[in-house]
Amino acid sequence: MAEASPHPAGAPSREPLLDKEFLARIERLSLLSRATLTGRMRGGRRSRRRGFSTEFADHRDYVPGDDIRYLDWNIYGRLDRLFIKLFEEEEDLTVCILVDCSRSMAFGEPNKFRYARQVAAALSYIALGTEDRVGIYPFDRTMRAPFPPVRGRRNAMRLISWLGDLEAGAGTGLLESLTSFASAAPARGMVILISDLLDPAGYKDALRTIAGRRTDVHLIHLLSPDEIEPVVAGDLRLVDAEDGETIEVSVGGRILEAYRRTVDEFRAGVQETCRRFDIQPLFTSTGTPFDELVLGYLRARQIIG
Amino acid sequence: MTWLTPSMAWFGLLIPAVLILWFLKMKRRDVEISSTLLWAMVLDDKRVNSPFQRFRKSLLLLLQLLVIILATLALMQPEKQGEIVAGRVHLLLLDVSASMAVTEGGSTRFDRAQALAKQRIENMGAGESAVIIAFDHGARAVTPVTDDRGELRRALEVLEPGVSATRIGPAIELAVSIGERQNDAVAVIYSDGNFEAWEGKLISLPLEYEPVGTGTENAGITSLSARPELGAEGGLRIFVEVRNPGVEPAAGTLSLHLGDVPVRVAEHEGIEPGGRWSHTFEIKGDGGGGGGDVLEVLWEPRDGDALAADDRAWIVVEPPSTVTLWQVGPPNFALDDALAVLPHTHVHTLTPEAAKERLAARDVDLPDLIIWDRTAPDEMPRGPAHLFLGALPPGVWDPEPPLVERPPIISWDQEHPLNRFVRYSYLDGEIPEGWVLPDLPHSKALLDSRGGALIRTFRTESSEGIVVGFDAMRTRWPLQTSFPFFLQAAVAYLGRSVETVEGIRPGELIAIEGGSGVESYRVTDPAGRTREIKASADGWFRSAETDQLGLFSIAWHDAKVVDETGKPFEWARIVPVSLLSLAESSITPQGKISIAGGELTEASANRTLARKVFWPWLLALAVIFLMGEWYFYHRR
Repeated sequence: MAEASPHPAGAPSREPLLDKEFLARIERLSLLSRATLTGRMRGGRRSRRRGFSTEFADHRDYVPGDDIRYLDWNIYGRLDRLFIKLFEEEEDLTVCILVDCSRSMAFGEPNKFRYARQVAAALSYIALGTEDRVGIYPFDRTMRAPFPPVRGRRNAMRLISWLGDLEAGAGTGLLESLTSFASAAPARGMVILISDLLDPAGYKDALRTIAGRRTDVHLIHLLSPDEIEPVVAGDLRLVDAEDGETIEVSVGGRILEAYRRTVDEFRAGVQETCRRFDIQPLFTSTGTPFDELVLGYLRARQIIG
Repeated sequence: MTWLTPSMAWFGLLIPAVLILWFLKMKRRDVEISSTLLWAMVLDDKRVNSPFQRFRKSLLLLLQLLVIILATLALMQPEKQGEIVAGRVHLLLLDVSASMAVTEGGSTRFDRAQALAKQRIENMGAGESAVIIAFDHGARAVTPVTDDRGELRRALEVLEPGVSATRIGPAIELAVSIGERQNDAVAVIYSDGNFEAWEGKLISLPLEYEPVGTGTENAGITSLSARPELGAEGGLRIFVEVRNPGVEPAAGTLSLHLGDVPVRVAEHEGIEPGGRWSHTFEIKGDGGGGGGDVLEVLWEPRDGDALAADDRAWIVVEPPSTVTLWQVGPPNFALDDALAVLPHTHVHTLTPEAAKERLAARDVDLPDLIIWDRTAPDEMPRGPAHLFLGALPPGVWDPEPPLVERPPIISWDQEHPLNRFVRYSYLDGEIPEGWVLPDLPHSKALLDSRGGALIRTFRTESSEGIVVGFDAMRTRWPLQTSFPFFLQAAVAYLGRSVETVEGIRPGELIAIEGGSGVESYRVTDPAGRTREIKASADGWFRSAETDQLGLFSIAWHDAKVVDETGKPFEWARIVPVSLLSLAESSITPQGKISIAGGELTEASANRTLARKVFWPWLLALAVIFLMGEWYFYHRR
């Protein structure tokens, strides 16, 4: 638990989120979805939708109005029936990255908010490199103006710059924000939520809203080392950065032990909720170097590959 | 435990007041955190959110509460109704005599007395003080009057029983002299009560008696003396008395040792309870009676006994020297016969006139002793000792002592060596007339009549001697055996031809007149330790440091007395120290003792409850905790 952020709360750091060296290392990576997904445009990955790419997929009976260019004359010669050749359509993947911009994310050393934006930037860069569509959806109490989905690596720098300019805002409204997102988000695709889930209203209903669809949902649950293993002692009045609420506590060994137990229970609860809603959770701390998370943990979990 | 002012318990209400203030004053440090969500979940647990959990970490609060509790208790003035005290100054008289060394149940009587005295010291209240007085044959204060319990305890610890007999008199006199200077003093006697009743003047000091001891069985040597056999053959008769003050018969063996060699042994099958066994060892020319011999008598009880100190006694046979004496007076066949049997005595019989002539001559050898038989010189000659029989020494009493007809005999000093084997009872009413001899400095009455002493020693600057203030020839005394015994003792005493040294008792004074040229005496005690003791200005050796049983050896030389080679002549004397006390051998603890005509029983009757207050300690603790609180507060 840091008593103060290295940067003024919510103020963007002037340091670029990703350096060139790191970008070079993730150049050839791509996002791995658990399912073949439907996109709007022909992209760099196979879709379940049958289309007209070069990869033959199946046949179906001809019906009037079908493009006669796709009639399979060979079968007609053998069977005297008209079949239309179907090909697998290569579609793009829409990747929606939800970044928690609440004030609680502006704490920790390293700072959770910067860390979240770095992860978002890295995933975006990887996705854009495989012609997937990437949209950034920041939220705090409500959804903020998103970075609309774009395609192509040419948009990568603009997206990263936009992420760099994001500022942490007010309190957390997970349910309201994710409900709002779910109502407008594409029905298919990949959703990556990066948050500390520290919402007094809870996180379960909020996670429910983005699950249960034909989407591949990932949660990167981010806490700072100070939140996992606080280094405080004595008679304290703890002030909540988001809503100013205070708690008086005399911190000693027994209370710290109870706190650690509570953190473990909190994470266990998140894991259980994710299991119920078919969400892939990844618990991490800003104490884990960012590049290690991207190149190590995310690859190990087959989120990128 | 009682509370003098229990109403002060209301001050205990300060405790909740402090708790409230503590809650109000507790300063917390503001710390901004990302979210209180997790902490709120922690504090849902009552255990960690309870007020008592906070108390656990507050040393300051704990110290403050302790200060209040202790101060409140101090205000309530707790007291303990404890041991006894009857005064504010305790004069603790501890018996350190030989009988206190008796071991009973694994500890000595003195251990028990020590424990009782220590308990008394521990129970002293604020403002009370004590002094420890150790007594046996004498008494000494081993501490000043002090309220320092540590000093009193330390003084108690180093005390231990000795080998002396007990005399309560000096202890009481010392206690009274200390108690007179104190207000509200009380004396407590810790003893087995085995001492002679003290018949001193009435005292106003309150006395208590704490008897110690349980055992009763002990028999020991209570008397030892020796007498040279009269006649030419010489030899010694050693008289030993063993007393059994216990309640069971005591059997045992009595042996006489010459040096380390047993020369005589006698056995007794059972001395009756309260009885005595008087035994005489006779030694004739078989080694006993020689010069400088040490005789030791050893009593070995068959079943053992409680006190070892009274099982041994010593006597020393000094080399006899010939005494030259003049017998001056009219013819006296009874005196002639009596003197004729005395060994090592050379007698010259002279008429008063012849004696006067000799004394007037310048180059005459003076005798060691002159017996003036019914005659006296005009002037006391310097040098010899004198025995006046029915005559008065000139210039000693002025005016002349009165003559009394048929004086009734009251008593005689049986302890004096001159009276050791003498009885005077048949002289009662038998003396036609006699001088009643008034007391003098350095004089001792040997025979007392109702009007005063009839036989007395005297000592002036120029002479010393014995005066028998009546004409013995007009009585039956010369016909009695005690007459030659008296003469023998007188000749030995005055002629310094003491053949036996029967010794002294522990604590008694050894006095030796070595001569004016003696500068120091070399003393070797029974433990073998030798030390040099400076002679007094007149060349005497005097020491009362005789608190060991056994043989003290004193050696000296006189620079003025040289032998034929010109070297100073060496003298030595052995002084035996033996217990020889029936009071000490009687170990049966006495439930009551007699002091100044009054009887004292166990102290319980006189006990009063003492107040033992604790508030000063509680207050001191409260101040200490307060200082601790101050320290921690500022350190924080």
